[in-house]
Formats: sequence, C-alpha cells, structure tokens
Amino acid sequence: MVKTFFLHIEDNSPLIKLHPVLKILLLIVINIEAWIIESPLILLIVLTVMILSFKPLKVPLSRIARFLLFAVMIVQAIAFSYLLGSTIPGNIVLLKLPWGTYVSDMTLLYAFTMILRFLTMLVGSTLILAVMRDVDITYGLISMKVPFSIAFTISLAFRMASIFLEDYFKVRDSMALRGTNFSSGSIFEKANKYSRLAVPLMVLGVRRMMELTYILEAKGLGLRKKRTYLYQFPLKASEKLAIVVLTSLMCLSIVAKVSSRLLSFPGWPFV
Amino acid sequence: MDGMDKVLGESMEVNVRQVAITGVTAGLCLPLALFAIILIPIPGLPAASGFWIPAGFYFVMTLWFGIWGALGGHIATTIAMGYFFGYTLHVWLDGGIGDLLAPLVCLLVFKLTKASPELKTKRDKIVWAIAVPLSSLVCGLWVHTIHLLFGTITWPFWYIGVLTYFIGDSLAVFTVGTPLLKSLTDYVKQSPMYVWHQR
Amino acid sequence: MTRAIKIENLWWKYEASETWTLKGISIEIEQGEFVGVMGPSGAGKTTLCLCMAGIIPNAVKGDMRGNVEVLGKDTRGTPLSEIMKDVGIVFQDPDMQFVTMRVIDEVAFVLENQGVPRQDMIKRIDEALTLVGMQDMKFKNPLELSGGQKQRVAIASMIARRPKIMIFDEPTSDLDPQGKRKVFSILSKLRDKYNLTIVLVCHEIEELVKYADKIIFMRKGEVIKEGSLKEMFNDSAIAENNRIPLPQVTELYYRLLKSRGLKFIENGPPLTIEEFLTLFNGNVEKGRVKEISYTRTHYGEVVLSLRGVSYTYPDGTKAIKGINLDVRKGEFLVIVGPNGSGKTTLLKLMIGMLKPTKGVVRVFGTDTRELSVSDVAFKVGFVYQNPDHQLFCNTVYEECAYALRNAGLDENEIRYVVKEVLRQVELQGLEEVPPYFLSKGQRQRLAIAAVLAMRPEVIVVDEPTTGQDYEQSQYIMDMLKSLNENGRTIIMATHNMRLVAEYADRVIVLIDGKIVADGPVRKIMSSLELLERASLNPPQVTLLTLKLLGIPALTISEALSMMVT
Repeated sequence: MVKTFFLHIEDNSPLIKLHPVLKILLLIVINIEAWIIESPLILLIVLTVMILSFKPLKVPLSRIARFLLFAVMIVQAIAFSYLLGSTIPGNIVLLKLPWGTYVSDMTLLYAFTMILRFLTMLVGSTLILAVMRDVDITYGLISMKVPFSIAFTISLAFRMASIFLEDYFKVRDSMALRGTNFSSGSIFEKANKYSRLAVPLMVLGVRRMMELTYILEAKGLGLRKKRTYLYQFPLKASEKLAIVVLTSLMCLSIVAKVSSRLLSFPGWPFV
Repeated sequence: MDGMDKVLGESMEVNVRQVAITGVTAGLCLPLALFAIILIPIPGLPAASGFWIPAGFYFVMTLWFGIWGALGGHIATTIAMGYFFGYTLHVWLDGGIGDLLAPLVCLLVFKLTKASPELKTKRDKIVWAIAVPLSSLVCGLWVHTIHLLFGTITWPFWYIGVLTYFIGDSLAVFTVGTPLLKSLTDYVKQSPMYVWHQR
Repeated sequence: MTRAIKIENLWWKYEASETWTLKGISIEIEQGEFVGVMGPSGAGKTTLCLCMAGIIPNAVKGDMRGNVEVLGKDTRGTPLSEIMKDVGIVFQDPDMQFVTMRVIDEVAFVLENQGVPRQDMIKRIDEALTLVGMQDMKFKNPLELSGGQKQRVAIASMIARRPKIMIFDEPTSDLDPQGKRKVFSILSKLRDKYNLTIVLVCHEIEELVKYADKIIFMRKGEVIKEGSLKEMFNDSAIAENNRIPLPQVTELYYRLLKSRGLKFIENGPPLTIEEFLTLFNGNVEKGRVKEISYTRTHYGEVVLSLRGVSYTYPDGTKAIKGINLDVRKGEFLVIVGPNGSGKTTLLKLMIGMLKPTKGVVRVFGTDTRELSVSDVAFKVGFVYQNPDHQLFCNTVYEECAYALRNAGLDENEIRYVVKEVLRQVELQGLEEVPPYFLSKGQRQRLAIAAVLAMRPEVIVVDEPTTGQDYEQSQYIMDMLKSLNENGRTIIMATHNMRLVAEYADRVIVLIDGKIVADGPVRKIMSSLELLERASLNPPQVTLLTLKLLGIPALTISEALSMMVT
C-alpha cells in the first residue's frame, strides 16, 4: 500500500506510477476540457468513463463519497439558480416566473449540462489527486519550473495547519477551563466568545513564524540557487508522448470551441 | 508585477522569511477556513460561507507582512474549499484567486494613502473602514464573475452573490481583523518581517 | 589550529528593540570541545546560538558590534551558505523543526538545500540515521515519533551535512530522562568519533558535567563565568553569588565542608556520584545515620476519584487503561512517567476535559460526564505546559479578571482578587501590560495567576517547569507548595525528579496508560528498578545516599543531616 495525500491505495495502481508532471497535466486538462465542453452528451460520456475508470485504476470509488454532501449542495445551487434566474429560450416554456424569468426545456438541459461540468471536474480531479503523494505535488511543480520555495510552501501549509489546529483546541479548552461556555448564548454572544481566540492564535502564529525562519535558515533553504533532489523522476518516452498528446488535445479543444459548434451546447448561441 | 512591487515597497524575491510568512499564514487560516465552510454555508450559493473567518486573519497578515500574507490566505482558501468541493480549476479560480486579490487591494489602499495598520488615528480608521468593503466588493465581483463563466450561477444570482459576499467578508474582516490590528500591531512591529519597516 | 568559534566583545540588539540582548560577550571554543551554555530564561542563550551559527547577522536584522569567527571565517563577511557547510543547529521544539512528512525526507531536505549529489545524499542519509539509531523508521511520519526519537531525527538531519560544529539549543527540555540520556550519549559519540565541536544549551547540569569540557554561564546578556568544570564549581561563594546551579553532589560537598569544618580537597569538588564516593570513602567516616521519615497524614476527604477509567482516542490509541485512583484534599500528588505514558490524558480526564470511554471520574462526588468543562472550572483549575495557550486577553489585569467576570462577580471584588493574585505571583505593577509583551517566565506566572484568581480547591498543572531554568522552576514549585500548605490540592505531571523529590508528598508512576506504582515519594524514589522501567532517574542526591548509606535522601539538607561525621 502507498500513502497518498488522502488515503492508502494499492501500489499497483497504474496511475501511481505516472510521472508527477503527467499527473498535474492530467489534472489541468480534465478541468479545462470540462470548462470548454458544453455538449451534454460529450460531458456525460467523459463523466461516465471517469467513474468507470476508478475500478480498473484501483482507486476506491469511496473517494468520491467524501464529497457527496457538498456536491449535492452545489448541484442544488446550480439547479436553483437556473430554475429561478434564467431566460434560456427553448421549444417549450414550462414555467413563467413573476419577475420575468422562465423555465424552458433548454433551461433544464443547460442546468443539467452545468451540473455535469461541475461533476466532471470534481470526479476527474479526485481521481488524480487520490494517487498524488506530497512528493508528486512538489516535484511536479518544480518540473514545471515553479520555484521550489513556492512548491514547498504548499506542503509546509499542511504541516503548520495541524500545529495550529492543536493550538486552536488548546486555547478554546483553556477558555472553557476559565468558565466560558461556548454552547450557550445567542449567535452574537457565541461569535464574541469565539472571536477571543483570534488574538492568542495570532500571537502563536507570529511567534512560530520567527521560529520557523530560524529553522529554515538552519536547514539551508534558499541558500543555493541550484538544489539537488533525492527523488528522481526521469520522463519515459511514452510519458513525453502523453504530455504532447494531452497538450495537443487541450489546444485542439480550444480551437474546436472557437471555430465550430462541435463542443457547444445544442442551440448555442441562443437567439 | 513590477509596478505592484514598487507600490507595495517590498522585495519580490522568495526567501526563507517569505516562505515562513506564507506557510504560517496558510497553516493558520486553513483550519479556520474549514470551520467557516462547515459552520455557516449559504444555501443556494456554491461554496459560499456567510462569515469568512480566515479573511480576518489573512487581511491582517497582508497588512503586516505584505503579499506573502495574501499568498498564504490564497493557499488556505484553495485547500479548504477543495477539501469540500474538490480541487478543481473552478475552486482555484473563484475562491482561491478571489481571496488573493481582496487583501492585496486592502494593502494597496493602505500603501497609497500611507495609512498605518495600527489604527490609532482617525485617518487610519477611516482608511480601514473604506479599504475593507472595497476589497470585499472586488473579491465578490471576481468570485461571482468566475461562477458565471463556469455556468454555476445566472445573472440574477450574480447580483445576490456579490452583495452577500460583500457583506459576509466585510463583516468577518471587521469583526476579527479590527481587534487583531489594534491589539497586536505594536507587538508585531518588533518583528523584522513587518512590512512597514521597508518603507 | 584555528579555533572553532571565537567571539570578541559581541554586542547585539534586535531591530526595533531598545535594549541590547548580548553585551560584550567574548568566548573562545576550541575544535573538538564540548561546551555547555547555561543561564536563566532571557539570558541570551538562543541569541548566542544564532550568532554562532551565522544566522545572526546574515538572516536577522539588528545592530551588531564586535566579531564572531567560525572556523576562522567572520560571520559578517561570509555568506550564510558558506557558514552552514560547517555548522549545524538543532532547536528546542522537535515538532516545529520538521518540515516534511517522512523521516528520510527530513534528513534529505538539508542535503538537497546544500546541493549534495544524489548518490552521496543516499549514503549520508543512511549513515546519519544509523548513527542515531533511527534507520528502521525511515518512512515514518516524524510527528508520529516519541519526543526522544524526534530529536534524534533532528540530530540526524544536521549530522548528514557533516558539519564541524553542532549547536543545540535546549534539545532535551521536552524529553523524559531516558530520552535525554540517549541524546546526550549520541552527542558524546559524535564528538568522540568525528571530533565535532559541540555547543549545548541546557539546564540539566548533572548530565552536562558528565560530558562537557567547559561551561559558560550567562545572565542578562553577559557571560558571568566560564571555564572548565573544575574552574566553574571550584568556589562555592562565586557560584552562590552568581546563582550558578550546582550538581547536587557538589552542593552537598560544599555544605558538608561548611557545616563540618572539613578541609578543602585540592582536586576540586566532586561533580558526579562516583567522584563523591571516591572522595569521601577514605576521608569521611560513615557515621551513625539518622533516618528521616516525614509523611503528612492530615489529608481531607476525597476530591477526585477514578474507578476503572480507560480512555481511547478516536484514532484507536488506548491512552489510559483501567485506572483506579483517589486524590484527597491537601495532597501534593505528582504523576511521573515516560513520554507517551498518558500523563496529560490522565490530567485531562481528571478535570473533565476528556470523558472516559470506560469507568467513572468523579470531581467532588459528581460524575464528570454530567458536567461541562466550565462547570468544573471553578473547582479544579488547570495550568497548561505552554502559557501561550491560555493567555487570551488584552492586559494582565483582564487575564486575571476573565474567569471572575464569567462567574458574575462585581468589579470591586474582582479588583481585590486580581490585586491579590498578582502580588502572589510577583506581577504587581504590570496590570496594563499586554500578556504577549511579557517574558516566558512572566507569562507562565500569569497563567498560574489567572487560574488562582478562580480560587479552585484543586490545581492541576501539566509540566510547569519544562523549558524553565532552575531558578524559575523553583519559584513556580515554591508557589505551588505554598498553595498546598494553605489547603489546596496540587496535582502535577513532570519529568523533573529533583523537584518531585523536593516537593511531592505522593507519586504515581504511569507506564503505558497504567499505574505501576503509587505511594509516598520516598518509597517511589527508592525503587530504582521501577524508575528504570519508567525511564526515570531519581535525583542525584537520592542515588548517592542509597549507595553510600542504604537509605534515600530526598533533598540535600536531608542528606546532610544523614551524614554524621
């Protein structure tokens, strides 16, 4: 088993072995393609293929389950927005609303398309991120010429977050130990109690900042322009080809979107 | 970026100090962002929180430590939002970039007007009272325009979203940020990373 | 041969600070020397370390006067990358020092920054981890390790760089005695094997004297005294006037000389138990021993009761396993045990912050599951290890008044109580100062004051002396003892066995979540095998009297009265 950012997965998953640059590029391509494509049929096919890929790629489908509640919220929000606030012309007007908007058959199809777009991005990103380790993110970004300091800051953020979470609980508990009851009072009273946490957390933050500066200096971060790396990720010929293919696909999609209606929503542009 | 560099009055070179500021700000804001999304979501508006607590922190960090504080807020928002709504381009562009722009606008206003984050004079307080809603408005406009471009909202909801964002963010920054600036700026001034030293 | 470190008349002031942190320091350290740096909090020890490592002035702004040379290179004129090739520095907080998610990556990080070629890097990582005994933990998350293991990883990450000088800023303060011993032993091995120069800041004088060649004692930014071990402790008057802490056997030796009118031994005072035994075996008659036995028996009713208490954390870790315990009013109870034994968890169960997964905890007869934390607060006060976790008001006054306002007291009464507690902790006059402007020792006292203001009958304290110098530790302990003598029940967790011996009535030894011993302090201190199992050491004077006289003395005064000449 391999520990990735979010879970442990089997180390014979084909995606694990992908080059970090390829993983990041896949992440970008999936999202951009989902943004470019407005054809509900194409989006549905892409989404279905991705969901079906989880099993052969040995990524547990339960990874998506984590997002279920909030995904439902977003889907509801999109539907809400289109049902109450759109004027997309269609063949049948199903509902006219007093403030001038209406719901047509095309409204429903378009809302469905936008939901598919959102789900495609979500599922695709989750599939890739489920197989990304912290070294993939760092090395992937570095391979794409992002300065190491920036790439490193992202993993540093995770380290610091767990430290501050602990600080938060300790400060909150110590307030409770001095008689503060966080569960009683109006929402404003509760907000006032919680707002007291801000000052000690910030003081701890500033102190840790100074400490961290010394520690990073002591570890020699940024002392040399040329840094070496423990992990090596040589690009195989097939991976180079994959990068070219993915980049070309992205460019072709943009061209197709601009110059034809291949990827557009049926009936677009609406007259 | 060069012009911004001159206005902000700081070096854009990434060194250890900047890494520490960004890392700590991101680490501090990340759990707060996670709480804010869970505690006070706004039904009907994708990924919106009615009281964006971390804004109070990264606005203040930006005023004290410059662009690196804003970058920390950006990282925290992107990671926190992605935790619930997936790490998508949409999440990064709307919340992530929006929460990078907002504190930078506030910093710019302070720098251009030469106000001090200590908030001791009437002038400083007026600048703060104007900068925060202005920044929140800019952020709200950005976020909801991105929502519109991704097709997750329609025009009427764009207006609602901008207004809600404007109120929610301003409220959070005033509530959390004001006491932080008033209580701690004197203490933070002793730190060599305090950006006003570089004027 | 070039000196390892040469400091001449160094003055240092941080930017935006009005006072000098270091004042006219002049020190010379030879290559291969093991130098201990001691002094109370605020003496400038960490700043001195940063100067020796070149971090000051290269990465920290301020005003520097004088010279610092590291292996012949002036730190002002030499790039930090050059200095860092030869100098490694390890800080106090092991958690803060880790910036990656795996042990191997932590060690590699430093080498990557240095531009070490990959093949060489792999070899050095292996060597360094083997040296500190952590080669089997390569792929573990550093945060999942014990305190001692964490510091060993931190040492490995510096050793991999093959520095010529290693600086350690209080690396053992958070560790249990066994962890401390392991770290000291590794340092000694490093010095012997690689002729490393070692500069170690710590408060553990008794461990330091076993390894150090030289000691530097600082106070308020100045070097008060420096010299070889014998030179440091040769004159008891100087030690006393400058409040330089002595090993217990040394202090006992001087007090014996004074009280018995014995002749001063020219070789100098003993610094270890072995030296003391060698010195006195032939020179002093082991006289009739007066055994001292003192146990307080006037305790009141049961204030805290645990029956069959177990606690399992949400991640499945069984922290406390089947504990039965009664604490009576007026007791001074200390809980000891190795890192990770469950001491803090047990304290949190006692104050109702955690609810047991099995069994019952009662506070003044009420099950803690029926009480919220704020309900318990005014009966049982809790003081955290880190004072910064419990200071959240804008001024010292507000900090002490906070709980009283929550209790609904009127302003006059609040004012009276706050004045009283601030006087008790010697912070009077600082009412309007924001807490974060205070020194660490002052913040610790303020945290105690804030709890005292609530007038709890029971005070629970979690490792109050960690990271504190001896003076400050004694001050805090004297305060707790005085509260105890005035009727409060004190429950404390600590690693500091000397303080346990000097202050506690009753000791509980916790290993792996279970109570393995519970009894009067003298009985526990005599159980050497038990203490060894718990990774603890009795105080030096206790061990000495056990060896010399067959009975344990808890304090130097007791030992003195036991030795009749």
